[in-house]
Amino acid sequence: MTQFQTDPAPSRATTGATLLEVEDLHVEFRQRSGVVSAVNGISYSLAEGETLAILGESGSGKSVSAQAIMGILDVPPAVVSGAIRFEGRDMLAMSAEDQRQVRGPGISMIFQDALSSLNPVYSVGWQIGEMFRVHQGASRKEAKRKAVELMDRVRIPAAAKRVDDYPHQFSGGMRQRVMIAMAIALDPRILIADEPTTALDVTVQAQVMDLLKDLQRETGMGLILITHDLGVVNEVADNVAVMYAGRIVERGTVDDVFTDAGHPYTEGLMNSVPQVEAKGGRLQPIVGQPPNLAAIPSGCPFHPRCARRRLGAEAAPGRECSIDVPPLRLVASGREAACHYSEEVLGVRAV
Amino acid sequence: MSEPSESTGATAASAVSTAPASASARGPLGETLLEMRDLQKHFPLTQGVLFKRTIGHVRAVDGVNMTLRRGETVGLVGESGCGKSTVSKLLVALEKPTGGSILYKGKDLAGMSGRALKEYRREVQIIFQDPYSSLNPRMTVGDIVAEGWSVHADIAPRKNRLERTQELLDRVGLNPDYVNRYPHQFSGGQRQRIGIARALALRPEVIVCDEPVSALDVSVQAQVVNLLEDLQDEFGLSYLFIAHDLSVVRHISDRVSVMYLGSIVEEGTDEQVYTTPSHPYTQALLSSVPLHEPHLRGQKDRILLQGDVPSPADPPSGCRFRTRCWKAQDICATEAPALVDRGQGHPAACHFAEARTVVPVDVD
Repeated sequence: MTQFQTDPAPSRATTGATLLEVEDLHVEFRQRSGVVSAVNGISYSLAEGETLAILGESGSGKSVSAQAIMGILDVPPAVVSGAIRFEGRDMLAMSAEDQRQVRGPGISMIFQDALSSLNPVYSVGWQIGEMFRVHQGASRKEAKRKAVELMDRVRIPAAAKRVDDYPHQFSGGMRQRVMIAMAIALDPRILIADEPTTALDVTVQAQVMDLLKDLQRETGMGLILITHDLGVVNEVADNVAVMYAGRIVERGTVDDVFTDAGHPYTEGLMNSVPQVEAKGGRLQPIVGQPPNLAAIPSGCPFHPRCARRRLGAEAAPGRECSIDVPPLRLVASGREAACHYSEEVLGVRAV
Repeated sequence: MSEPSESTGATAASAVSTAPASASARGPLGETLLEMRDLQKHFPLTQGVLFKRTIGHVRAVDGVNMTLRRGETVGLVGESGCGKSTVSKLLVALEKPTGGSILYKGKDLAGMSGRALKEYRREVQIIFQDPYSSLNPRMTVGDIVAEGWSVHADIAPRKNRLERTQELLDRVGLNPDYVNRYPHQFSGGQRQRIGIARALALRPEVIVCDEPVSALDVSVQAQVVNLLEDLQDEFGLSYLFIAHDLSVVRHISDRVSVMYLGSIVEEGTDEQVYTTPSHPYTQALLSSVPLHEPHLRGQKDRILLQGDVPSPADPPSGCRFRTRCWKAQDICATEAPALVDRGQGHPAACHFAEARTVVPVDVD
């Protein structure tokens, strides 16, 4: 029943050292029917204490890019190229065992569906304690003691009593806390949260997001939050990268991007979502469907759905939407967008 | 952004674009179509294999009162496990209530049989949440949409059925040439349109929409919401719109009921419930919804509820919400609060109901 006025706005200044640099990351899946290009050359970096939201719909490549960082894609069929530098060292250039040594304690990840991510036949205490047994050679007793500590830290009530319970005995929100406990067990520098609250009710979502932010404040870890929920991005993240068809189409601080979108896709997303603050008028959806990743449209991948596209004589030379791929370029201070006509989008939604 | 726009979908064809600027601006509301009176559904909990004995009941729906009038949309919100989907199953007669009654046009559903029940089932249709599992993968889209006519043959004359099916597909924004395709050839949003066409085929009066957009991507959600609004205006439909997404419910509903652990805790117009919520649970629920506007960030009262929803097999005595409520007093444990107006202008089931603004009003 804790009530507090408001949460402090996330620290927008990210002065910490760079933890992770992703450069020109590509992920392809070679299939008999053709090549599915899930991630097509994305670059970003994450600093200590920063929360970076990766916003996109299903099929935008947001989860696959995170799985590439975690090294949990099956290679083959997946083909990963580019560079993923964690504290300066390129993980893609390392041997698999070296990658594991770096990643294990350094980067961890939580998933949307906590029930299927936990093993149903082991108690949660055993699963959390496994971290300490495997990575630190702790004894069973020691591992269990640490598991209880962690469960306390993620605010699972009566942790000492529940440590021997099994995943099915926990509610959805509590299971997600167990996942978080496992993820932070080894004090990672980076936590990747892939739709951590999508399966949860709003009141539980608020609890879990709060917990993640508190943990970040305590440890200074970098947080990559993968989500399709504009509201969650606005309330939790410092910076946002909007993905579409495997590319980053817009990037900037949440304040900037949400106040004034610089890419027609971002603008379309904002207009198509009803808000709880106001009833609003008629929604303005984006027409059509997200593209098939095995046949991404030529030029700008968004152009078939874009209301602002320019084709033929309308287009400026070298900037025809159906032919020329727009690069992710600086369109305003601290803002990047991959649209030939981004300047026309900026300043439109002055609400 | 209150102008009707032409962007209903990729293949939107019908020339109908008479969408009103706001859902609440629709004409005067008609007569009461559906009425739920103290509706209850208790599922027995049994023990034993050969000699089953009942050891208790899950009170999934426990005393729900709601009305739905012609042409209006009533939103029903609540978290998972609160019983909202059981309400939808009771309404389309997939489950029988264990207590209370459902009145349709003044007649009790429990007393209907034969022709009357058949007619009820035609007039009250449902759209399901999951467009993947609610369409038979072995049937073509045309067969799915037309299936209802094999029971209600009088709705569509036999020889015009293909034509009528194509009209329906066209109306929901699908290419009419797709009648012979199978569900797996469509995306989630398109499948939801097929489900809508199937519901429309029988010319219903009421459509129960059970989480119709929650499985869809955000850009596609808006297309389906707009389609539902257009169809309502065109055919004078009444919707019971069940969802957990508070923003979508506010957008589409004329009136909203909030459900917690089997019963309604607050009801009113969308404006009343969202700007002056009076039940502590509604306040907590609304305060948890993340806002989209950076300039409103940090202006919101945050109420973080502790703990989880109690089991509906063993609900708390008195007020169901008292175990998580910060206002709970002794009376809450002994006396269940009635759903009545205690001076807030709309009913709330709380002894200490008090209007409180938790969602900041977007002024500009």
